[in-house]
Order: sequence, then structure tokens, then C-alpha cells
Amino acid sequence: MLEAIETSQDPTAAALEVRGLEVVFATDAGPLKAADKVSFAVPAGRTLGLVGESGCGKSISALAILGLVPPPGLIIGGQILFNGDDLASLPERRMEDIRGARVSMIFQEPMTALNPVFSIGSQVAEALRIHRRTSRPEAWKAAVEMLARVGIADADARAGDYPHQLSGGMRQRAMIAMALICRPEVLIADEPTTALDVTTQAQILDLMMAMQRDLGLAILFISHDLGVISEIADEVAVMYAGAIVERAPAGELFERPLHPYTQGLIETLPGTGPRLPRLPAIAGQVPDLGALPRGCRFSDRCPLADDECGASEPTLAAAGERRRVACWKAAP
Amino acid sequence: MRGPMADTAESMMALALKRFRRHRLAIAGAVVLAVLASLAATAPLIATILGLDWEAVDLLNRFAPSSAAHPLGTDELGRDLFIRLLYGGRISLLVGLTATVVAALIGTAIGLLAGFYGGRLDALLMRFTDSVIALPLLPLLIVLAAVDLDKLGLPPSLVQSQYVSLYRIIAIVALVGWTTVARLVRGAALTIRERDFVLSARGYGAGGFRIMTVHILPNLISPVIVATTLSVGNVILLESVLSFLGLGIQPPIPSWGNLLTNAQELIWTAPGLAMWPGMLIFITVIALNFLGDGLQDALDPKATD
Repeated sequence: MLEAIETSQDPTAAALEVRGLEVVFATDAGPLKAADKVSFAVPAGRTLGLVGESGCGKSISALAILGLVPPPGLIIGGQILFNGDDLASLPERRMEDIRGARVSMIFQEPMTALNPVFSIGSQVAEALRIHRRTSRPEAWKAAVEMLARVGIADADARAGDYPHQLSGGMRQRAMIAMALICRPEVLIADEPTTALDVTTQAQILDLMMAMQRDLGLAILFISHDLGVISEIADEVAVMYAGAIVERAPAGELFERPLHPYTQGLIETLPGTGPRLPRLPAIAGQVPDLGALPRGCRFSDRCPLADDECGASEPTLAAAGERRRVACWKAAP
Repeated sequence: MRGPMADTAESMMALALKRFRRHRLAIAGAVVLAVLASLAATAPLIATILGLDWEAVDLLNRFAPSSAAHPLGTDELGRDLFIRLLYGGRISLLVGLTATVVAALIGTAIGLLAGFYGGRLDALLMRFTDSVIALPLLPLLIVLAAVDLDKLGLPPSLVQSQYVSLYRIIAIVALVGWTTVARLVRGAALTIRERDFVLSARGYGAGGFRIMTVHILPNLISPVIVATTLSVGNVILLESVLSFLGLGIQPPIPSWGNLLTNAQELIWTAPGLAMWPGMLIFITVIALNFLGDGLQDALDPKATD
């Protein structure tokens, strides 16, 4: 079994493991598979980068972990293993106890992800008070400490500020404080740096790595930005049109991408080498989930595709010691 | 970067207040309402100082012109008009305020439940709202005003109280007046529940009820305040209409509406009797509208300071 191979890959038990996750959206045009047999594992203290274009199912997979897939989406298969529980089958009541306390999430746009009518201090304190029996003054004190810890200068005063009074970087720090105040084991970060400028981006990445060291966090880091992923991830999973097409340790992936899609993504990165007249691009567009090509889902855009690729779909198969790739043409 | 404005922690309310202060008409409206309200509130004190009584009939002194003893003259029974207007203001403002606040509470609760939970509950509550809206208001009010409260099993002390018409009108207006707020709140709740901070709150473990009350409700307060302010004026008008039709506040208790009613046959004999209450209703409603407009601008979350 494929799953069996995957578990044996991480002998140190993964903090979070997703196996064969399938998420379907029931639409008027028929069911759309936003996540198709997605499998990955994040060990404690490590970071898994989940990369892919917009709409490839990264965020849906992340939301599925917390049981927050928006309707009409539905998890129809697979397991999400956390601490011996399958989160995919846990009742909502128990999910509420896990969210924020043991598995937290931070979002892309910290302006809209913070409630505009409450000060950041009270929002951080609320995140704590939901899960722990704490008096208001104590929760406030803990919130101020947490804000200081995520690098908000003069946290005592800033805790009383409202989201609109803070800069984007400060807001994202506040979001991180909210996500981490209950000391979760897993942090899911959905494009946490995308809305920030490059310097702030670097600071937030540093902060996340520091918090990871302190708390032994397992981080699932979602981004469309390979540059960011290369800085923070230990392992990378590349998603395309709802499925993971390649998974590898970060160093190996960037050095020698196996899947033509990954190769394309890396080639399109503006490098520091000689200036090319034109940045290369991957031909075509991400296919509509309702109209995937026959066979390999990348076959209609793949420079290497032939009849075999159009005939049957490749599965994620081992390609080296710690790598796997879903491609008929990938040379191991 | 943090701007200089942000150095002192300013709450949303402080910012709103700052925007509000720039709205001159709204300030004027607020001042007018404050004056009217404090005059009405201190009516008994003013009456004592002037040595007047709102009920004292003086048949030898009917239709008296304004004088030192009677600042605005007297009515057809020789009662002092000025004091009756103040007492009428107490009733009219009280009815307007209480009825709209009760209506706003009912409307907020119904709209919030419908908008937040959606689905069948939403459909049910909104069809109910539609049916209340579809009821023709005036005939309904006339019927409700004619309900025999004795037969409803209400305590006799309440039914026989001279203020029963006051309670009745507040209840009637609240029962039919909540629909606007319910629709407004539902619409706002529908958009707010899709905002990222709601997802984020779910992400840190907040349950449905907490999200509804802690995260969505406070974001709805401003439109509700604005709608309520604007509808206080309508209710005062409605009270005058009902009183004008003889269905509202019953004499001898004065309200601006029934003062106006009483004056209708005397419009040629003593025009002041109709003019003063009419003017007060007019001024109050205008002031409330200015105030509502100002609040709308000040409380708009999208407004920049």
C-alpha cells in the first residue's frame, strides 16, 4: 500500500498526517474535486511547504485539516491523523477544542482576519480564554507577554490598539500571537507573508522559525511563492489541480526537480543569473477542475507529454530515498 | 508605519466621535434633542417653579394669549399650553424611544439568527418578516388599539392605569416596527459572517454562538444605531397619527399628537394650539434625521479619519 510506505518514511511519529484526503465541492456543474488523494505528514519541529498556483487546492486542504471547508465543500475520503484522532471524523464540538489549542491557523490578510472592533490584546486574550479557564486580567497579561514575544515593541501599550492602527507586519505578528498563545503543536500558515512587503516578509519568516524552535511546532506552510518556501520549508509538496504531484526534501527539490510542473515553476523564478530577455512561463492555464485532461492532469501543458500520459494517470511513486513524484516521464 | 494619529490608542468610537463633530447639522440636531429632552425630563420641576399644573382647568381663562402667567397661553379648558407641551414631550419622546429600542432589539435578534444560521431558519424568519411587512399598517393598528386588554387576562392594575394607552402604543409599534431592523441586520450578518475574521475566530476554536454574539453582533451595532435613530422620528409621527385618529395616547394625558388632534377644531379660534405641538413634532423629527445622517457618516466603518 502507498500509505504504508509513506508512514514508514517518517519513523519519528508525525505531529500531523494527512492520508488520501479527498475534498469535493458539489456545484451545479457537478462535483469538483478540490483535493484528490492528498497525503503528507509534518513531523514536530519541521516545516512542510505546500506550493501551487491559486486554486490548486492548497488552502482547501489546509482548511480541511481544521474541519473548516466552506460549504458546499465536503470531505469525502481520507484521514487526518493528529494525536491518534482522525480529525476528518471528529464531531464539531471536539474540533472546537482542538482548533486554536492544539492546531492553529494563520491567514493571508491580517487586516481582514482581525476583528476591526476589538483591540489586538483582547483578541489574543480571547483566543486564550476560549480554551483555558483564565480570568480576564490574567488573560490580558498573557496576551501582552505573547505580543512582546512575537516582537511587538512596547506591547503593553500596543495591546490596546485596534487592527487599523497597526502596520501589516504588526498585524501579522498579532495573528501569530493569537495562533500560538495556547501553545499548539501544529501551525497551519496559509500564505502568511503574501500580503506583506519583502522586508516584513523576511521578518515574519524569521519569527515563525524562532517560534518553531521554541515550541517545537510542526508547521504546514502554504504559499505560491517558491522563494519563500525555499527559505522556510524542510520538505516541499507541490500541488497541481487538486493533487500533489511531487514531494521531496526542500534542498533536493530545488536542486533537481523531477516533475515537469515543478521544473517549470522553478524555471519561472526570476533568478540572479544572467538577465533573460523574457522570463519563461508554463504554457497554458490551470485546467478547470471540472474538465481535467484525461490521464495525467498536467498532460495538456506538459512539454514531455505523449500518448501514455493521456492514457492513464500516474500515481505518486517513490523516486529516490525520500522523494516521490507522480509522472510517467520523470527519470528517477 | 504608524501615523501620528495612532500614537494615542484611539478606539473606533473615538474616531467616530471625531468624524461626528465635523457634521454641523448633526451636532445641531443633537443639541436640539438634548434641549427638548431635558425640558421634557424636568417638566414637573418647571411646572412647580412656574406654579402651573398640566391638569388644572381654569374655565374663566380659556384661550388666553401668552402672558407672564401662561408663557404660551391656555387651551380650550384654560390649561396652560406650555406645561402641557412639556408633558406631551415626555410622552412622545418616551414612546418614540422605548418603542424603537424594543423594536430594534426584536429586529436585531431575528435578523442575527436568520443571517448567521442561514438555511431553513433564515427562510422561515424572513418569510415571517415579509408577512408582518405585508400587513396593512393602519387597519392593523386600529384593530390592535381596540383590543380589550381585560380579555387578554392582563392584571387589572395595568388595564385600569391611565397610562395603559401609553403601554399599548409602545407594544403595538414595537410589534410591527422591528421588520426594517431585522432585514438590515440579516443582510449585514450575511456579509460579516463571510469575513476572514470569522473564519479566523473559528480557526482558534470559537463556537457558533460565540461567533454570533462576540464577533458578528458588535460589527452590526452601527447600522442598527443609525436605523434606530432615524426611526424614532417615524414612531413619533406614527404616535401623532394614531393620537390624531383618537387611537393613541388618550386625553387628559397630553402627547404632541393628541394636543394636535384637540386643536383641529380650534384652528381658527386659537391657531397657536395646533402650531406649537406641530412645530415640536416637526423640529424633533428633523433633528433626529440630521442626527441619524451624522451618525451614519461617523459610524461608517469604511470611512477614513
